[in-house]
Amino acid sequence: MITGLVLLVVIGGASLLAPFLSPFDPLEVRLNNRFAPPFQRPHLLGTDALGRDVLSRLLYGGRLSLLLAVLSTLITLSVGMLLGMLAGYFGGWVDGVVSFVVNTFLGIPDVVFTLALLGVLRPGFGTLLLALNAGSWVGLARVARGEVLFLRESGFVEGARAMGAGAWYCLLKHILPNLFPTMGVLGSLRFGGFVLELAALSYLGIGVQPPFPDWAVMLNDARPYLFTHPHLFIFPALIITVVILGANCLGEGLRDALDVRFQRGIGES
Amino acid sequence: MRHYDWLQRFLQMVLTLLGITVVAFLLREAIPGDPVEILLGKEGLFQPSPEEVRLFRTRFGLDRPLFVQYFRWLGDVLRGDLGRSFVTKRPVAQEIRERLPATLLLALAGFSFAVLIGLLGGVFLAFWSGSIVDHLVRVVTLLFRSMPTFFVAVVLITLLGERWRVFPTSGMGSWRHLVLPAVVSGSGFGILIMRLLRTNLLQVLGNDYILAARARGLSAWKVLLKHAFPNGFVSVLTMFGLYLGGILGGSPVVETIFAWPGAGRLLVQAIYGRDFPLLQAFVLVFGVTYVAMQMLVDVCYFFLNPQVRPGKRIV
Amino acid sequence: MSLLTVDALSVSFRMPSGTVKAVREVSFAVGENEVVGILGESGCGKSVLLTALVRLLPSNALVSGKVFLRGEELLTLSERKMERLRGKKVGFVPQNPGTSLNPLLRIGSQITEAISTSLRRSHKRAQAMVSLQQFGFGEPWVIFRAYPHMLSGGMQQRVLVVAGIINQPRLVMVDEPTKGLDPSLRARVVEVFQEVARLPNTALLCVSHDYLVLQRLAHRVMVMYAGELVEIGSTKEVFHTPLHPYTVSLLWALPERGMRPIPGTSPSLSNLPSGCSFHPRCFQARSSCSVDHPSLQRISPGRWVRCPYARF
Repeated sequence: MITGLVLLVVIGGASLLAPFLSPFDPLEVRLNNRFAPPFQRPHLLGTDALGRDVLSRLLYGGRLSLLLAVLSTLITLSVGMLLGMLAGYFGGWVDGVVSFVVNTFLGIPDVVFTLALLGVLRPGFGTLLLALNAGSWVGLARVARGEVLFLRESGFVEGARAMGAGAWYCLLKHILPNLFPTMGVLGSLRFGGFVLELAALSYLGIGVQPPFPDWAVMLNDARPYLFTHPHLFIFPALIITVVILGANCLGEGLRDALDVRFQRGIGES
Repeated sequence: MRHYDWLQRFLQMVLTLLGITVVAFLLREAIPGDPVEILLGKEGLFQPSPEEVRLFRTRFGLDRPLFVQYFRWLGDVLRGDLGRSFVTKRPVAQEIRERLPATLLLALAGFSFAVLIGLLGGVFLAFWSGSIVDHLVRVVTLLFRSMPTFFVAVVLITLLGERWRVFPTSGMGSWRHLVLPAVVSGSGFGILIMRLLRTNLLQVLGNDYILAARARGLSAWKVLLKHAFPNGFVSVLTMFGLYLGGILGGSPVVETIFAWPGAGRLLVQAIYGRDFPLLQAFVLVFGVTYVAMQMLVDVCYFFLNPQVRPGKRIV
Repeated sequence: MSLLTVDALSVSFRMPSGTVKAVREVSFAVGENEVVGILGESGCGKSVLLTALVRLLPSNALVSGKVFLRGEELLTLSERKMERLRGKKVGFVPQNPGTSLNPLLRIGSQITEAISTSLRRSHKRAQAMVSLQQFGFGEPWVIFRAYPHMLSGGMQQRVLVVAGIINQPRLVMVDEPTKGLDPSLRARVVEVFQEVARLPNTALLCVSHDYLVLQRLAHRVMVMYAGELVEIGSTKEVFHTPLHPYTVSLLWALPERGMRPIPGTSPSLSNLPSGCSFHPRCFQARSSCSVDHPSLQRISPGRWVRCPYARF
């Protein structure tokens, strides 16, 4: 749905342009101006426990999370689609191996695996990236494989092969484009999922580390002051919700649009 | 042939379980640094000399090829020895065993909650499909699903826990302690179940046998409950395995927020403490539990769907 | 007073593409113990007509007109009162027996749920068994416990018949009895419904595209085209001396009478031809046929035709 797209673009754009938009340095500590209430100048959204401007921190807050989420989505999609295509198209032992790995990883709840990896490896951007993706490509691979299996038997692929097209050509030109719709839907939803997961991890303190002005970190910081200064908690929470909402709207809107396209052929009974 | 199917399924499960053990074992390889030094205790109070490292290595067979080590490790695991925690120095198996019941209890409670609101909600939404209530609920649930778990948790805690003092917010004690965590844990999937059931019910309601049943004089409610629901429920059932796994996966966060003494919380603490044996065991335990649950769901599905069961053709 | 009187019944559907007129001003009557057939090709609205009579149309349907069952007006009845009629005073045997039974429930359950009296379960079961036996099931207890997918199509239909008549309704509506079944079973199907017709005080309203079934089953036949009745008469009259060009063409299309197909295609119900709905395909269409919409004319008692140029 367009709503989702708009929301995401707006927030994404704001995050990107944060250095230009934010009135203050998000990391600048001003202990003489702590807990300024919101909706007052010059700090439009108030300041936090260390006197840092909330608005600036919000603007900067998404950068790391969104970047991680976008990268993760891309990686997950790529790996999932690639393996799914290989397994689905070539079958045989390739399929056997890939399916075995997929089934194995499906048996571990991905959160657990993510956490385990986080606990094992050194904290850092790369670790987060790896941990988030380790379990999630699996589901996509399985769906991709299913679709490829279906597409492989369809007319135009057979036709191409009859004309002598090689395996890679078929894969790239015929099968891949047909995977995009489903993958688009799943990708959007997964993006929302990544943001959610990352936020949860950061909230627990094992994701993005302070003092980086990440939204979830802000939430964690705001915990003790929930009653006294609720705005410190509400704003970041709202932003996160809006981002995920945007991703969900987008994914669901895409899904609905695709469904309609497939159903129109059935006609009236 | 039915039996062949079953055998294949079982083999697949065994294979998956083996795969999980391999993954858990290989986790060790992901640790940066020399595993021996780490296994000896990384606190640094005790700096092993190269001689001691070498001795340790041979004594524990760490100089053998990888798959030999794997089988030794697997043997240990099957005997119940999962190593010792770095932090508490107690056997991991014991640590987990102490906490697992609490986690399972929470998972079950969350799951029950999810099923309850999911089924009830799904039926009601299907009945009132198209009405304002339906649209409203759809929007609300979308919003709800976009909120991070901990946000919901915090909101519930502040409102119901501290402001109005209805439910306790941390620890485990009476049944009241179970309510809030279960609600938080199960609400996400409850909503998914609700929507899935609603969609399925509406689809089922378009079937011929629904018309036939109505034509026989059954009321709309009766048809919904007796005819539509079982058929719609079947596809929801196949997802149950997934939901259970998801609830298990959500336990670390929920347990930490509510200070629930379960295995999930232990997992998070293990991460803080970089307690490798514990982490490795977790991958194993959660994985195995999840696979077992999925198998259980498959069995249930088999019993509920008469078309899958063997039955002779009557001529 | 006849058992069922239908007065200017019209059914339209609100679709995103426009309004579709499925049934247009249909009027007829069914007497006690009578077997009336409605003959028409697929899409002419006959199944919609039946479904409208039991008020089970989808929510986007617009119904107008009046329907009287022994004097009681049906279309304005409350839903609860309607439920008391369905399956009890008015029976219904749906088409497509394969999909009209719930695959997850046993046959017995789907029959006993139709029984309206508040008897004990064992009594209801006994009643179901008796009915099953009456309709040719040698071992009714086997059928009772079986699931639909274990039965053949013909058996499934007989089960649906049993469920439809178990409360001894005065009027039984049958929707396309041969659709979804192997054509070689036609004779069996006719036998089954002849059995139903023989039940005391039971009238049948049977809708079909299959002329042979109606010929053997019905006392009176009504021919339907594009949502309207175009010819009414006794079975003998209509099939031996058809009057409306459509009926004539239908019979010419039969294999035993030459298998001459009717030119053109069935009209779209959202975009009906002007004037007489059949004129684009009619072999004796005049210029006025595309302008004037003919009304049903009475030739003799019980004999009606919707064509001013019908041959005599």
